[in-house]
Amino acid sequence: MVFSSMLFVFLFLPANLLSQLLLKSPRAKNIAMLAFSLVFYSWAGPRYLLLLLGMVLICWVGAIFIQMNEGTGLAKLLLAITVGLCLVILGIFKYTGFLLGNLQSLTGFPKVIPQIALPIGISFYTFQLLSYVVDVYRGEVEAQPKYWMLLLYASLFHQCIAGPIVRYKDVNEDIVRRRTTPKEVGAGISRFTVGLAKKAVLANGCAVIADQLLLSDAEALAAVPAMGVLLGAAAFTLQIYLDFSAYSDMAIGMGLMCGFHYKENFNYPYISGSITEFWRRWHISLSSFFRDYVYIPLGGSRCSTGRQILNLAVVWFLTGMWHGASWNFILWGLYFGLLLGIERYVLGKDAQRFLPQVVRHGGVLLLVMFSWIIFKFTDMHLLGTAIKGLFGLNHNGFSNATVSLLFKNNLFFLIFAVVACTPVGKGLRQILENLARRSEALFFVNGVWDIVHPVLLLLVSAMALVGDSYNPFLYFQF
Amino acid sequence: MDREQKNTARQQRDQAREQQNDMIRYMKAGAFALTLLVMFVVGIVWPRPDTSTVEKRELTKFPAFTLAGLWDGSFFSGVDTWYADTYPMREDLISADLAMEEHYGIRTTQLVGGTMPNDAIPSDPVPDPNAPADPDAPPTATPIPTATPLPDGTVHTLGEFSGSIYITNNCAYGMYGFSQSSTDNYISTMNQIYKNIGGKVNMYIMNVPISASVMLDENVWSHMGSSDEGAAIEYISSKLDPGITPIMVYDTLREHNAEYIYFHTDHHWTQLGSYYAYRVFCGLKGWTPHELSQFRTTSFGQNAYLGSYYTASNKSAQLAANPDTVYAWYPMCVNADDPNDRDMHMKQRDGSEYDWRIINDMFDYPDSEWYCVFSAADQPFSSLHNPNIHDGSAVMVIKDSYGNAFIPWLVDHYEYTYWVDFRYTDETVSHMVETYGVQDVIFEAATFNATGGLCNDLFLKIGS
Repeated sequence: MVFSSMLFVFLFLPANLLSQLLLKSPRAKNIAMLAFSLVFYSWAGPRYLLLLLGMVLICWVGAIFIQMNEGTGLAKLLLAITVGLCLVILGIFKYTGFLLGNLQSLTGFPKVIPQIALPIGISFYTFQLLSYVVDVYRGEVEAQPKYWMLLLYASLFHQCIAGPIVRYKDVNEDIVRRRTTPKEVGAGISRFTVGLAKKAVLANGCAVIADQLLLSDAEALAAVPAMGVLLGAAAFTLQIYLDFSAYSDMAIGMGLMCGFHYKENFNYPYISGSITEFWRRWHISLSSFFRDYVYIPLGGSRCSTGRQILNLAVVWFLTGMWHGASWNFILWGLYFGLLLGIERYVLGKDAQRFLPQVVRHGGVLLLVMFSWIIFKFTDMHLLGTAIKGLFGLNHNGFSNATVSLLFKNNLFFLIFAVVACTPVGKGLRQILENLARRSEALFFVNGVWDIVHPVLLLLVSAMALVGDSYNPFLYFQF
Repeated sequence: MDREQKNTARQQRDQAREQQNDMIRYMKAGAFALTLLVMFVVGIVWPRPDTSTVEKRELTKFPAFTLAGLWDGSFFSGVDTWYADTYPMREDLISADLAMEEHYGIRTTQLVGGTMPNDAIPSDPVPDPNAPADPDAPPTATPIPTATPLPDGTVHTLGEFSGSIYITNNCAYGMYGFSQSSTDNYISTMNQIYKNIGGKVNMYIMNVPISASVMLDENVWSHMGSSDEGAAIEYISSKLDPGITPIMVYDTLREHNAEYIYFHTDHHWTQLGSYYAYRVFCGLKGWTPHELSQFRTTSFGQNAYLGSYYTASNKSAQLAANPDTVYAWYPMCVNADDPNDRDMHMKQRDGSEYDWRIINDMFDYPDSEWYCVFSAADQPFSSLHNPNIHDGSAVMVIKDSYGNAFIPWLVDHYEYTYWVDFRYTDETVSHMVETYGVQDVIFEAATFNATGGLCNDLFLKIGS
């Protein structure tokens, strides 16, 4: 099940919220939340649920034994075994086909590559469980004595399949005892409905444009002129941010409605003035995971320059791999590793300050947009065709009728989508709230808007989702 | 007022404001919960639609339960799709969504639809017009003299398009894509049919161009990647057996493109468009065509007809702003005054037979079907006996829906007119020609239809 579906919004969610409202004890609320989460996860097929149950069991047992042997070498060994088992399972389900496919193309062996279905959300919940086990080893959290409570943490439907990657220490308190306040519930309602509309209307609308230009047929893609590839890349750039951040918005919003507090996962990444800043604003829970559990343990930046570069390469190779078992994702990760390396070791902070702001922001946007082309095409031949097309090397001209008409037909929508990627809306809201403090009339307007906008956003989202029209889910690869 | 009093007053004000804020939050939560509840209840208890008039399709059925489907997730995925696809009030919600999307950009010119085949049209030499004529062939077309040059109605707006429907200036235009293989199959089938029946009857072929080819400037449609339909029709006629007489209507229609010869919101030509085709046919037959002024005329759906392009364009607001009127001309041999006078006979697809009117009031039918006023629309077999002619003359029109508007012009020239929609008949042409003793057989179809893959098979079936 996905959040942006009629069934979820108008059947599953009301039932879940009702259960949280009616049940009084934390235990009853948690049991209900677990039941809802397991149903939610089983929607893609109960077979994947068994894997989730198994991985939680490994981490639950592992963490308990690690805590029992705290400070000993055995704890380190148990940590290695638990983390190793989780990574092996992730590897089997996510990377077997990829590795064997590459082996086959090099050596001809094996003859047949097993087709292993990728369980939805496996990368998200594996990383959540890894953070839990490592944090127990580090003594930062207590091991959870109850299996089902750890299962609730890993399977919590708010963030299980599309993030953010929530750390146990950040939600442990909320799981054990949580309370809701009118302020947080109000904020949660706004956040959820904004996220829903962002996905159902804006992200899906951008996807329609992107998919008309970044085609999956090589011959057709080669016929798209340079401006078409550029428009497609721009639309995909908007789509991926609006889509991904919308899921985080919805998760954070639903969390607030029930008393969970998830950290921000996106902070307007497209306004960044550098690639370093971009990664401080983009998928924050993932980049902080790699920072805390890979980069810093490898030595981070407190080591020789050569070692730092190696650490950077490892982290960005893994970041790429995490997004999908395909060379384009690895290339995408290394591309960012290279850009970050250039920023840090070649340009330096002074050089970045020297560049005019508009050049820095524009440059970052173009580099990020290019990265999404790499991200989009898992087929390397298609990727090559798209990149050639972007630079007009497919010999089909600068632009054509389709591209300019598609642009004109969606001009206002695209402008709105661009604005939605910036803090303009948030700023306007803040201004209105400030004014409302000084004026009764504006207080009334602000109040009415506060009450009405979630309803409007729900209805607009329903309009876009009914009929099960185009509604892609980008995170199956994750 | 001292500082302490000020602080107290401010605290009281803040407290009051916070209480008001809490009130707003409760109302917000209430409004949100109520909306969810209403949608929840509606989704469960409200009757669900099973067809969509907007999308003209059957909606998703609830999936059949199987253990395998449960295990692999396909059952729940089916439930998801069913729930969203059949949600009560879906048509209203979708219409509202489409109305919202109309404001996504500058949509005075739009593209709708998928890509078309666009093979290069072979430039084989067209048969030499001075070559000796086949003595058995019907007379060559006599051009209809035009006293003064006709006004040019060509649309020169250089919009851009890739797909099958181009919308500009509140009018939709169907685009033509040439497919070499399908066109060759069509030609081959027609030539085979001629071998079967050619010695017994005069065989005519009329390929009706689609609106863009006639109404738009050549630069416009070529810029949009459309094929040259005029060249395609020339190519077809050049490859037909010399015994077959092509009814070349393309140039004539282009000459009249300032007139209302194609609908704005539908893919068909108007009856006026078909009238000019009739005049070309009269030229071939050596007849003097009847003038429009000789016919009784009527109109249906006055500025209210929104045809197939309106639906296909997701209810384009541009087209909604420019609805059509269906103008019709009664044949002289029928009683235009008596709405109960059944002048023709038709056999429907389910085998049932009715007496009908060749120009029939369709007010009881859905708005989108008003083109069906002509010739009882798309039936397997229809006929009309002209009581004013007693010479045994008979014509059979084997046609698609474009033929419906054309047939009423013919019936005044024959004692018997038969028409067959090739998409819905199981009879072979040879058998029908023999059964009804016709002298003329006209194969009429829109070029895109005649040379489409599906119609290839249908022609093959009736041509065997």
